[in-house]
Amino acid sequence: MKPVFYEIERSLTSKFSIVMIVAIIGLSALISYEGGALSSARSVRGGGVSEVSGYYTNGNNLTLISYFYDINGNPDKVRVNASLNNTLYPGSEISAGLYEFQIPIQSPVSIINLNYSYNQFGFTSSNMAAVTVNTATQNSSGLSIVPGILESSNSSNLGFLLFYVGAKGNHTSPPINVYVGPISGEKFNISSFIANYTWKNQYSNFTYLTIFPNLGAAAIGKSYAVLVDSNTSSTQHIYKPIGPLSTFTPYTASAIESSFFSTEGSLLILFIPLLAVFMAYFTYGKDRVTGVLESVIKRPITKGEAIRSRFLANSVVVSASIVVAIVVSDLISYRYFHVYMPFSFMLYVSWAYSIVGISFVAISYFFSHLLKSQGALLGSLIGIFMVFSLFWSVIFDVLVSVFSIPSGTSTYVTFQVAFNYASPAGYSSLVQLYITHTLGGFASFSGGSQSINPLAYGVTPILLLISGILWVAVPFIIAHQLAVKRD
Amino acid sequence: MITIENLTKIYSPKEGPAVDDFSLEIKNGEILGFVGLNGAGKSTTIRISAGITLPTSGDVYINGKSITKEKIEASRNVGWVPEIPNYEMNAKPIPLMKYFAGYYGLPNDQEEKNIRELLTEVGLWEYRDKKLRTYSQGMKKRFSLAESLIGDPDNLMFDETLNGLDPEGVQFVRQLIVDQKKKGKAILLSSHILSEIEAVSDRIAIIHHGKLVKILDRAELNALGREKIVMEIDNFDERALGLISKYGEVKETGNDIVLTSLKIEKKNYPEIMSTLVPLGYKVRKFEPSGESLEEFFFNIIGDN
Repeated sequence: MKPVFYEIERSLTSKFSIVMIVAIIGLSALISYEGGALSSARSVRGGGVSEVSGYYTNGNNLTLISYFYDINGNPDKVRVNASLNNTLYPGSEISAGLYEFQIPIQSPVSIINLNYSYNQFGFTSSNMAAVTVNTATQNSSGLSIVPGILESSNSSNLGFLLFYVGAKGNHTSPPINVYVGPISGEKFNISSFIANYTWKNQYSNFTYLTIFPNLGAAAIGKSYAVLVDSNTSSTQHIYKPIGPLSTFTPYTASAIESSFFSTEGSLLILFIPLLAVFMAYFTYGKDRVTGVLESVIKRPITKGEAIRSRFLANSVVVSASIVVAIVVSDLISYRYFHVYMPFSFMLYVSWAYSIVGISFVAISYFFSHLLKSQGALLGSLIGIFMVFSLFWSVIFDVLVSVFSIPSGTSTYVTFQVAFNYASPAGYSSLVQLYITHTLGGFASFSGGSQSINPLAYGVTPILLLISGILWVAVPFIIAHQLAVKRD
Repeated sequence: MITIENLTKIYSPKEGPAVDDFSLEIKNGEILGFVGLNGAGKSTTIRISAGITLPTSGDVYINGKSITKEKIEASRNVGWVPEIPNYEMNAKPIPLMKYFAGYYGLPNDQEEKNIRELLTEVGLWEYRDKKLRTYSQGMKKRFSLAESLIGDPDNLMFDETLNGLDPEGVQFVRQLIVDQKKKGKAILLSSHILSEIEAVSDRIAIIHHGKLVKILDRAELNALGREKIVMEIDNFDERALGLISKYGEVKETGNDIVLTSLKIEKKNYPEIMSTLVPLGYKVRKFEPSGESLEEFFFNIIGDN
């Protein structure tokens, strides 16, 4: 077995590491889930499952057809029963999202309850809908229009769903014209509407169909209606008001990036140093001060190789935890926002938090060679974590108060950038500043929404690279030299 | 072969050297006993030879390879069994030995074969699924023996390995050491149990205050030390003391009068009796004997 694999396995499988890694990945996942589930962005594929139903009759037999769909109009799988007069009628799925019920009816007007449940992100949700059927006027429901369907990538919320159930079980629509145009007031004049429509299209042979007319920015703030007529007869009209239209900006990669720093970033900046410090203690520092490392050093290996090998193992585990947490978070986020983090962004943040973690590993190695007792070492490492990671923002706040530096000023930002450079935990904030032009992280800038030019404050790619390398290399090289040159 | 050349180790300038210009050679197929008081420099010498501690000056050569300059080649051929086995206690023996074996570049099948044989040899194979933290002190020592042999080194160093072992454990380790010697390995055996050292060693090196005081070879061990005479004399008084003092140094130990550093040849021992008895002293016991290693050790340490 290659010794470094054993060391990676050991770094990964110590109880503390397992707890921390599970916490990092699990909490990142939960934060993404929460962010997606609670987001008010209209592109979010949240919400539940809705239904639209139609019917046709054959004597006293009613066939109810229900289409179950998500907020984007896509079919959803459900478990469903219909009930009428306390009698249950199981539904059979005839195609994706479409369920059929055979129900004997006694009277021309019936209210049929649909009880359905569905799985959403691993949880089962239940819902109920009441469908009123009036067979006295029509022996089939024909065309239904459902407004409020959202298209995730469109710039409009003017989506709607057409659903057709014809007589004798004919589930395909005849040719129709669909008009969309502005309306004002409650009066609706068909001929006027048709004369002034802004969007039209023809459709046929569908059971359900989602339509997202692109009306452009000119339609913002106006109410619209959709009107459908048969393109073979001028007598069949059906209309439904939709809108008003409001243009929205789809959830963008930029929004994902900002969101990442304010949510998962806050988590990582707390847990990664904690993982790094304790992993370094349990797999190197403790072994060194208790003499366990001697059982390795006596092998055909130099002291330098011994420390490098463990440092590499710790670094791999810290970085892998970060990458997995970010990827899991991104996948969950995509489930809601339909936008992946840009690959370059993933690289940047993986690099940034890896630098943070590996810096803390390196500092822990350095202290492992300064101190000779377990207690002193553990206490020092906890102190390092608390000062650099937990209380750095408090120290910053105290200092800006002492020096009376007003928040939001250039001096304040300069001071904050300098402070971030002075702590390994501040590195991610610098990368955030470089990417999003806002400062955040452990020492959040009170004017966080204000755009800051990173270059003006010395946050350049070269300086970030040098700073990151120095935070890792300096403590590790000193630790390495102490390991090689001292007993 | 282990060659220690002019080894000096100074831990702190305020204190004297722990090892002072110490030189020694342990030949292949030889067990060299290494004795000295606590703090004499035995463990420091062994730790430097194992590549754990850095010397202040001098060097140790393992099969001709410097432990300081050619650590990897040197360490490949030396096994060190420390006094207190110290391992990652949450580990199980097989994964840990595989990890150690990884440093010797053994092929996988050879690695597994060696581990099985060694754990079986030290009687731990049936405990292979237990974590080291559950092992007794004796079991940890056995594991320590096994893992030190994982790379089948040509040279072995045992630092107070016999300490804390029960009689069966001592016998087991002694046999293992002898078996390794028979394979032609050079063995440095440090112990406080001088009778064990005396029993198995081909030579014994005595270290005191970091300096090599004496090396005893097998012939010297067989005829160890200076003769002494143990006597029990009724009414022993100043006059009797004066009479026998001319034959050597007199020490009173309980009822016994011990005459050491004898100035009289063995064939003339009856002269002592002839001096005392006519003057009315009753000599109840007169037992000439050789000096034990322990007595020799303390005498020579005292001399230094």
